Amino acid sequence: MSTHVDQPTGETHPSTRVYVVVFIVLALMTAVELALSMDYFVVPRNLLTPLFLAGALIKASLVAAFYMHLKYDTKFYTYIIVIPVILLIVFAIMATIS
Amino acid sequence: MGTHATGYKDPFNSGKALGLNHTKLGMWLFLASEVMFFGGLLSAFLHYRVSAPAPVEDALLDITLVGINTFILLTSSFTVVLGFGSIQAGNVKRLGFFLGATIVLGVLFLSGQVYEFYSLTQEGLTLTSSVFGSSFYTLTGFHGLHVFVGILWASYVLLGALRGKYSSESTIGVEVFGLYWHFVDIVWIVLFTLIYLI
Repeated sequence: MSTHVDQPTGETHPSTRVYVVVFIVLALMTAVELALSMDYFVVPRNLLTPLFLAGALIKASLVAAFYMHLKYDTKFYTYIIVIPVILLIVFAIMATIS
Repeated sequence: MGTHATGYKDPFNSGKALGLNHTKLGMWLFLASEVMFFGGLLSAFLHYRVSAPAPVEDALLDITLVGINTFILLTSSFTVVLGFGSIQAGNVKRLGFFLGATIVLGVLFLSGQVYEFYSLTQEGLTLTSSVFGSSFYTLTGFHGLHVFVGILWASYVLLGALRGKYSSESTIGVEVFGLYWHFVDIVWIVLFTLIYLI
């Protein structure tokens, strides 16, 4: 049995290299966020919140797209999970306004 | 009597009458309901945080400890996906190794959370001490419960792997567990940002 798991199977499955790159990006982003929250860099407080929110969105999307294979699967699964998220945000905005 | 309109002789037992794997579809639908579950708890937490600010209790949260815990959970998602890659390549031993690593990381995360809860309780923040305490423990506690269920599930998949249940042709059991585990990781990414960072 071969010891490597990195077997190209066309477009259907990402390679181990993709998993590693995604992990490194996630870890680096988290490290930067922690440094920001501990005031290692001087960034205006009102700029931090949108930065953190964008960071969370990017990290969550990376996990869903590559680790949960949404990028490689049928779009139907993406709709199933993205629609409730959009509805949740819409409800939250409506609740905030009213 | 020929094949069904779906192209399968027995659409139900084919597991693919929709052209989709039923187990996987079921998991995604469950995860969609989980979005609403955590969405409700998170909305409550954020609502109380804005309407009844608790700067003193807010300051009790230990970002260093939670930061380490976040790295642990991120790494566990990485081990799960490496395990899935291993079984796709037919390597059961590697799958076992990565599942074992996932269980260890999950237990470490939960230990960190138990320690966090214990420290906060010592500081006077309890489930009933304030609105902040109630919404904080309910939200993070339910996430911890999901991690606990994930650890049990990972152990079950590991047992199955040891008994030769999975191969490069039979990976769905590992994949569906992976979907759950990654979702719990995503929930933590959101909670970490909204509770601890902002």
